[in-house]
Amino acid sequence: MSKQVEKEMRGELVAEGGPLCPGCGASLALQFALNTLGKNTVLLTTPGCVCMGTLTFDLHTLVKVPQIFTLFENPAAPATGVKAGLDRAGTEMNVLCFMGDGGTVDLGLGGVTGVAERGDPVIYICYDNEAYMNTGNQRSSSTPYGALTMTTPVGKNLKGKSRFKKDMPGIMASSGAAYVATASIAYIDDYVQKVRRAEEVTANDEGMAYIHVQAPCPTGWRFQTKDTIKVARLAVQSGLWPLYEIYSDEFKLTRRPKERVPVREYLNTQGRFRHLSDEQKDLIQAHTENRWRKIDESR
Amino acid sequence: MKKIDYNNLPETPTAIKLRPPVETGLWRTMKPVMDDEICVKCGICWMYCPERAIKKTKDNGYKINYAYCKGCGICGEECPTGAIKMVEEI
Amino acid sequence: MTLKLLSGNDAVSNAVKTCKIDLISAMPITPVSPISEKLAQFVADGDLDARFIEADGEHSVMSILTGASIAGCRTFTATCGTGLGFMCNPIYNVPVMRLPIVMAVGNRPQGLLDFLSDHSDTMSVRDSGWIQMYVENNQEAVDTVIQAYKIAEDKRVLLPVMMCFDGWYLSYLSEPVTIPSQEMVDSFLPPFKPDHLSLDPEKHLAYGYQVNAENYNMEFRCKFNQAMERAKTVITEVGAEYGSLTGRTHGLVEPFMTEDAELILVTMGSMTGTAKQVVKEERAKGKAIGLVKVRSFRPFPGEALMDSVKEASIVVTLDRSISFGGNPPLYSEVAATLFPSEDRPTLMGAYAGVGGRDVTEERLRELITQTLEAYEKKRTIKGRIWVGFNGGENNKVI
Repeated sequence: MSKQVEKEMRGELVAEGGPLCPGCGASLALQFALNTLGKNTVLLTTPGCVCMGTLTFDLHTLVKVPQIFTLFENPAAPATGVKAGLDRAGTEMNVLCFMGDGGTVDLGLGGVTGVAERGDPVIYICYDNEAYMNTGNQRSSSTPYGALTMTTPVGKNLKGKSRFKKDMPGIMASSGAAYVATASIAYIDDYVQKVRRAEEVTANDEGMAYIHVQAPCPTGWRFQTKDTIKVARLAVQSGLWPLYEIYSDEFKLTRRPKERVPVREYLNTQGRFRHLSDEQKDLIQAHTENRWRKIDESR
Repeated sequence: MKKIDYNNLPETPTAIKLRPPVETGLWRTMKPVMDDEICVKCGICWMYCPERAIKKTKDNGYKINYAYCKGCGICGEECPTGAIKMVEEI
Repeated sequence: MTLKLLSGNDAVSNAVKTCKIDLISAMPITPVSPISEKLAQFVADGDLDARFIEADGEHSVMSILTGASIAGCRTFTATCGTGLGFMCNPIYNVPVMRLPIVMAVGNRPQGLLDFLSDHSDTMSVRDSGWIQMYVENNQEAVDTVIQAYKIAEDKRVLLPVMMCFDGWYLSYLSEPVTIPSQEMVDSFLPPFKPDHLSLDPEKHLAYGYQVNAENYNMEFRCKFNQAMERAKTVITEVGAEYGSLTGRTHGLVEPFMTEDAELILVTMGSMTGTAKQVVKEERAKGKAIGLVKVRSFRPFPGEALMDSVKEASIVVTLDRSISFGGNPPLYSEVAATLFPSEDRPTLMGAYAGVGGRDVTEERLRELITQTLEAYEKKRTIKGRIWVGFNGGENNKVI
């Protein structure tokens, strides 16, 4: 697997010694997105883990590509402007938005779906650590059912988040994005292939390419730093994080677990699910089964 | 006391230079140690390191850059042959 | 140069067409919706070689323009009122990134659902770092839009400009205007070539970078403020150059019949037209009344204003917006300008045209009478004068 991935690398574009947590899932997602696309990329980031992880005080940069820091709630719209400006000047560059789930699924939803509808050929990667992690693990609408966060705490009256997460890839597909995919840092070859596909789709001016990659966070999800990849793998193998792509209205699974492991195995690895009752775990299992039934029926 | 030179500021807050490297290796409490005899050069540790602190060597092996390794332990966990072991570092 | 009968919206659109814009994005909002429609039609017909981006909200509009400006495009948008409120967050980033975006704002109230004219929208962002110019009529709107690009893109300034024209009173009013020829504008406006913005991969610059308390925040703000101060010189220079090409010179302020004036009205925007008419008539009757139009509100032209009013006994400011619990914007700026001078004129403040209430000649005449009487009796007026309060001709003092 790693030899395939190595072939796709166009350089190491993030400087070493960055400030992200040890074992950070988002760091891997950023590295492989940028290194696959190469130097000829404009990177846009919003306040969040990755943004704070790629900047410093005293006006020094940590990435070897041009970068624009935008406002939290408008991740995608400046990318439209940048792409239009580059087209006008006759310059061909990739425009990559690398944003967290908070800015994408909550705050910037209008702007992001607007870009999809307009068909601006921008690559948008949402790294989903399933909360507002940079400000200390507060819930976002991408936080899964039952998760403990600082604003969905566990106590006598509340037992973690009481609603399921928004289906952001589904929202993007129905808003007109030309290419939509989910990815996981446990399957880097699959992720890199999808980034490459996104580059192709946008270079051909077909529209917006959207990738939703799960980025487990040892700090917020409460597991040991060595288990980041294991947690990401279990998410895919239990069926909670299906890996698929949608292109030309066609839904295609890119990895299918031969036999799905019980969702409990995934939930039990993380401290944020430790308080879950058996009923809650069964509910999550049923929700996952239902989702896969729909996937299987539609094929 | 920080000295700022007002006369040398760019028109707008812009980062121009790459940051001088910070030795994040000092963060570690556990250190990954690679046994070259057991290593099968599969590259999985290189692929999964979030810090890119594992580099390919000239003979297609892999070497850990301890200046930046934060000691997360992912390489030790994912290594399929057990060639990388996490050792306590004081 | 031929005279055409055009509404404010059409006049602005035609002016923008001559400026070789690269990218436009605008949302519909009463009373400036026709600007987005007209510009889209120009692009569709090939009359304007620009990209028209259909945005999903004013917030996205300003974000798109930010990105495009960084990539080297000359950009334009139009909005007002609650639309300006919606783009509030991205608006603060634009002067900080030194992006010379030009925006036409068809002044409309913020807060209450009111479609008529009021300055509360642009006044609520007066601290943001945008240059603000308030125009008197549609001709001045045309001239100011064209000059705005030259002012904004000047290397001494590099700040965005809001061309503020009263919604409905100017945007939907048809007046005879002259749109300068393409040749004239081409010779007047050089192409947009920013030095401080580059997306070259070799340079790998990062924009919108963080600054904080101990790291440059104060120094950068000082730098932006200095750019605003330099804008005063640039506005005057550009106005003079444009005047030599067209015969119409506009500066920071416009004094009108201020020689030996005892009472001077200070106005902004479309009410200036009516006020000038009243001043003429009062002068004909022998009263020593004058007027100063403030065209550039940001940067505020303190020295130019002082020169025009220092010989008068009474200065009356007319504000088209309210700062609840405090002093209104124009009054505050004029007060701060007059304060250091020992024999300063008496200052009185009036609210006129708030929420779009018509500023009629009768109400202005009543204002002049009221203020002169108050000056005779007590030298001052306690409170502010609400022009046309309760709908009548009598202005109420509260």
